[in-house]
Amino acid sequence: MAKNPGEAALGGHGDAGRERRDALIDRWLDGVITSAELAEMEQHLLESSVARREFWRRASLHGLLHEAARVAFAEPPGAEHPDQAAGALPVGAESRASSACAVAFSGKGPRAAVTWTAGQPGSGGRGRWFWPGAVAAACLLLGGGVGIGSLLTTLAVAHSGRMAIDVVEPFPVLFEGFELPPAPLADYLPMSTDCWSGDETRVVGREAWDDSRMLPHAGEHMLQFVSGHPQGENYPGVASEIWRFIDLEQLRALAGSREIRVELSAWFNGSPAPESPRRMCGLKVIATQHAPGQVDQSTWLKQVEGANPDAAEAGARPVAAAETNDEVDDDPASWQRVAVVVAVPAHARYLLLHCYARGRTESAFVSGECVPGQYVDDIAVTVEPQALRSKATAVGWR
Amino acid sequence: MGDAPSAHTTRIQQLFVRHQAKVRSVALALTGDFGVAEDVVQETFLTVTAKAADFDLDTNFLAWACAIARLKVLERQRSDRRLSPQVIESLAASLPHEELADERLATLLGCIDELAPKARELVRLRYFSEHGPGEIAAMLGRSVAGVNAALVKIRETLRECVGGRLAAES
Repeated sequence: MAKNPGEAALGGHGDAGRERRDALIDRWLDGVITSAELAEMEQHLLESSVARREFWRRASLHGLLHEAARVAFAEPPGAEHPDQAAGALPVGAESRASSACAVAFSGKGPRAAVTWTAGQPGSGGRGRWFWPGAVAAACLLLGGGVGIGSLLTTLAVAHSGRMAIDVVEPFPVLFEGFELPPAPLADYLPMSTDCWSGDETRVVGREAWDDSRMLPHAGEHMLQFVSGHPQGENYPGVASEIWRFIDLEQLRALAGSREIRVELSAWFNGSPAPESPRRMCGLKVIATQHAPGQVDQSTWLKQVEGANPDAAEAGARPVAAAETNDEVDDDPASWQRVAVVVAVPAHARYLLLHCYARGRTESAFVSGECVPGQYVDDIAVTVEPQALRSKATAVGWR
Repeated sequence: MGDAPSAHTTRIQQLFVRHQAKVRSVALALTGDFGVAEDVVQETFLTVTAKAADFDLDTNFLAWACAIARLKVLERQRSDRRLSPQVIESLAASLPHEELADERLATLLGCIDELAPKARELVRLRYFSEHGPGEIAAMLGRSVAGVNAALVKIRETLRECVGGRLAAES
């Protein structure tokens, strides 16, 4: 006798009953279930805990497949699948940028390519969120000055037959896996867009395994923080950091006057080091109207270090900013993802990205490296134009 | 300049980003429709953000977010083909709370790579292009039943592949 009604609901047919139940669940997940079948499946689910477990087991794979497909079948810009017949943006993606995109899509781990979505509710189904041709379109907009190894990729512009751009999928505008040159400059803040610059760092590969038992988060390389100074001088407790400017002007061709939501994320890791203090890593995004070099460097430095009194005097008050940090553990096997989100109003012209690692105590200073054994990999910036101003993400200067 | 959200709210948003795949998976399971599921995820994010102050970081974020997603699904009771509120509640009560491990995703990607070309194309059409079995059947000149059967078989193959690989690694 069956132990519960749900098992009885299988009709006492054993394997055949289970197969029928599982087939119903699969038909539900594939969207082909009939009303009668739905009622039958619901009976199973209401009456049997086994059926509910099986439902979640199958649904879990269904959901995971959806995530995996986004990674496995993401197309390098410029390519189109036959079933994506809609027109692409007339962007003229440069081959250089396209190859960089291809590197990011095919050469990096799955986590790097998965972007999150958040936007305006009630916009209906997929057709209103997604312009298939545009997925393959882009690598472009900010692509002119982008360096190899970083990437400006996919613009998925929503298109529902109207001229106006509706809500869009989030799209990555930067991906930095440190796989190809140029390495970040050791020269304080960058004086142009689309390049990393800052304190002394070094791009390292799998050889770091020998010294620190550290492997890149994905790909073959990662960035090691070395010093809190571009020329290798060390200051106890001072962060080792890199910066990068992104010009938002061309994004405005898509986002118009709307606020954009920017997420900056990166993967950090640390290896055990003798005498090492507890260590921190962090990210900051500053939205500004000022171009690289337009504001005195010391002013920016004070801003990114959190002391801001000179910023207002210099007229360099950020349009918006957000920062987050986290403690880095000593387990080289675990990469930690850190992410910060900021809402950027339309009048912001540039983003200044700031990525740093620091010892937690002021006495942090060990044998020539102020941040021993700290690494970052797979820095990504994702942008999403907002249909309506979001109350969720506007971040003011602290 | 907009209102500055608290660090707490920012933390909640980060948690959502971390768990979004699981929330999407739950939404997909309860709606059976990619587009609707995506809308549910969007709405869940906005609600999670709006109610961030109510959430205690010492409690289970994923359970909280999934509960909100469940409510969003219940609010969308418009279609003829939908789960009844009782079933949704019953399923939600039995929702497994293990986190979606990146390892599973990476393993699944490896298994997809090993699929035969035709099977891999079916996965692409169904899960990347988000075509329904009927559309796929029309595109490939196959019967809907045949496409359904193939998808079931492919999922079973992938489930076994992932299970086998994870077992071998552990």
